Amino acid sequence: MEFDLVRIIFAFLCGYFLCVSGSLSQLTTNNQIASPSTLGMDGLAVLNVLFVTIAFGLGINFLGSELASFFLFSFTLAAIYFLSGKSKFFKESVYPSNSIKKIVLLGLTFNLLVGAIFSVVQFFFMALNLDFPSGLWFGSFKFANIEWLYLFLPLFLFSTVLIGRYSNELEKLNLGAPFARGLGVDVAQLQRNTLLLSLLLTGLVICFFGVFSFLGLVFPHILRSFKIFERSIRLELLLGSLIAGLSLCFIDLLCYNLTYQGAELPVGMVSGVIGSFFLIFLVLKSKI
Amino acid sequence: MKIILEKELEINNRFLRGELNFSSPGVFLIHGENGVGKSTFFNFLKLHQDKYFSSISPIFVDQLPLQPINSISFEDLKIRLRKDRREELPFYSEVEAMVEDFSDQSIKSLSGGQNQLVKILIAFFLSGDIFLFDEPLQHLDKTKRSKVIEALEQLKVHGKTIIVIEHNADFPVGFIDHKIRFNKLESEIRVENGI
Repeated sequence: MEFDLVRIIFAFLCGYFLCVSGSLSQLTTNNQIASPSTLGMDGLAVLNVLFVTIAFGLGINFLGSELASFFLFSFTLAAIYFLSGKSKFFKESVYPSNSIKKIVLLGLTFNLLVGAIFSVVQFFFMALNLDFPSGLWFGSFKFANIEWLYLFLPLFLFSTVLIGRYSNELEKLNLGAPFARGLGVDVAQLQRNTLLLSLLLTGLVICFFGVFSFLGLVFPHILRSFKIFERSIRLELLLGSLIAGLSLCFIDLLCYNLTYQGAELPVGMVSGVIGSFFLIFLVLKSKI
Repeated sequence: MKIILEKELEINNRFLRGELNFSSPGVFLIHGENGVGKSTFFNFLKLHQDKYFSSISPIFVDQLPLQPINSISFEDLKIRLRKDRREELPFYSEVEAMVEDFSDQSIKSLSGGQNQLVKILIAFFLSGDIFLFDEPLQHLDKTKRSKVIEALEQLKVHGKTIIVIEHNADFPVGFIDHKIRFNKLESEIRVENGI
């Protein structure tokens, strides 16, 4: 079996980020359907990538498309951070169950909308014979660049430290936002920060490697079906997500080695298929 | 602790007006017809706890059931919350006997009444200076009701302030120190003390 160390490292980090991102969005919203895909985070990141693609198509070329996408995405994130500080929703979201339903609906619609915009842009690029990242919806580590570690490693440390710091409050948030508020947790602040961290990590993965559809949803559910993780949020976040990272490494390794006439399947697609079967299995066994 | 309400809280186009004086220690019962805004007031206090309970630590138990997304049990929860425990109430172990049968079961799988008991137990486990309960007796059977009332009485004996919203208050004589009624008038909801 052959392997490429750079790919292994990035597959691990991305698996970790996606799992953390999924866990956090489910915890924060106290809803098992929540994930970066259902909350519209995927769509937002893809939209940023599309903007950069269009800019590149128009001849504005800088940094390389991945870094440029992430650069733009950071601005989006900063704007959201600033606006959410002023938003009424995050100040009064003690009873979020209704708002969460709305957010999930909006998120799904937004993802559909971005999908449509994506197709339109793709159509024009094809018509004009320009380069288009058509594989964006199925992530792959084929073009991983070792230098990106300068960005990924600090963010890995940053997210781990942040999760460690919040884990105690997250355990309380797991009981439901209203009850956690009654125990003195500043729920609004916590929800804002964890959702933004979740968005940051999802965006990072998408800008550099594309969409790994629903992995963020599936990983936490798979983890919680095991005895050691079913009772501790802290373990799920700190240890479980490392295991999720390792499993994405493994799937990527399979993709790397199982090629057909020199072409390999995108790991985003393979992991999506494996993940959905797992999820269907769990749902049917009513573990969820 | 005095709370004066003028235009802070609006319930169905009416402002809740009046003065609430939670002088500790004591047991305060808030009552009034359905939809008058008792729970809204409860959530208002919870949301603004830093403002109204600045020097004392409150603990709120609301009506909604606990809905963790994983399979955590009450025993697990005790381990997680150990650091936040303010004190061990001397009668705590007596109260904990109420959840003995299901303390190791996943909270997700508990019945409405069991879930309610777990919520109340968490408040007793953590403890605080002032305990606020929104319908603590909901979903409970007769024996459990009287046990919870006994526990609340112990809390009172122990010098804690209790604010409780309850409808069919089968509380024993002398347990409630002050009654507060929310009265829906034409233009406002009036806080009436001592009725």
